Amino acid sequence: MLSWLRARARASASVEFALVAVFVLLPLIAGVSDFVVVISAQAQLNTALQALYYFAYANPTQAVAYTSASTVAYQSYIISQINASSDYQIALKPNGSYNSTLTYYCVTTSTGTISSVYTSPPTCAGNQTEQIYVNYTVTASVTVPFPGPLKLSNPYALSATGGVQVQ
Amino acid sequence: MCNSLAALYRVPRATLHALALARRAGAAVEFALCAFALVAFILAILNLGLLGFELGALAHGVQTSARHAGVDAAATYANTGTMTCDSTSTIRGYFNNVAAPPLEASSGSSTDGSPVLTASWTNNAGSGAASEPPGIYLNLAVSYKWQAIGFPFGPGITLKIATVILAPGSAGLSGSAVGGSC
Repeated sequence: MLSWLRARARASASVEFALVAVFVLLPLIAGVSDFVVVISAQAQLNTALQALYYFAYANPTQAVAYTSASTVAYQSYIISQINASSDYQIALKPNGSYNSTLTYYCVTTSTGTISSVYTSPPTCAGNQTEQIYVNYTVTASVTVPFPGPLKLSNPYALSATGGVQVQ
Repeated sequence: MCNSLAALYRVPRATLHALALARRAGAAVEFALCAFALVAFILAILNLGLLGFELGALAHGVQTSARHAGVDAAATYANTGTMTCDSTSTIRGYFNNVAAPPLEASSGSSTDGSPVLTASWTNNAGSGAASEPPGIYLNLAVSYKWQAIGFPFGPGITLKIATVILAPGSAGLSGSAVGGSC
């Protein structure tokens, strides 16, 4: 019976099409739909990060006081407002009780060379200027519709990190 | 099967039977079936590229037009002593300047498939809750129904990007320095 079936060539094209559909087309469509969800969420994350940069840039004194309750609240409020209009829920990665960090640089004034990097306020040399950057990390967790083809974890964790100079 | 096809297309049964047994052009038939997958693959690559391109333009358009509106509000205060906020149609103009093309220009209609802008200003100058930043801020969201090439009758994918921008210098303003448009 089996050798008789093997010897037959009828409907071989249909079988080939079924194989192509199952192993190529369906995973392709599933992968595309996952990809769309992931890159659109990443675009929203990057935009949220830009909004935080702009907040820090426009309110440098407020942003540098990153341990202040009002700074924490304002930065959280910006994210909550974005979330209210977005398809994805973004979170500011906490830094203990706060939601941003500062990085300090001592820059040699004459050359513009960054001499040292600090995580707390430094005492720069006389020929150096202090620069301060505010750093944020935003995260989002998205549910991908078909995690199998791309072997993605589900929910899939995304993040964007960056800093802006405020002084 | 042969009977129903023969009846439908008025083809002699003998001809259909001969066709079913024929092995000529089998490779062409198989290619036609595989070509379906090949074309789908090419369209998928093309559409993913376009999607990334248009999504990037959408995000850039939202960020740039929101910043433009925020800075514009600050400029009106510097020039006139009263902060005036841009209307949604003005912000739509900023958006179209930077994002169309590659995106279709936003027309203001929510039914023609062009990007739909939703802009709302919040006036917290001189007041506001403790959890909200003082000053004037704009919440701008743009949604766009993206349609894949080669699938004109598909449902499309709604892309949405939102941002929040504080008008620079508005944090210390008193309520009387803010115009009604904010």
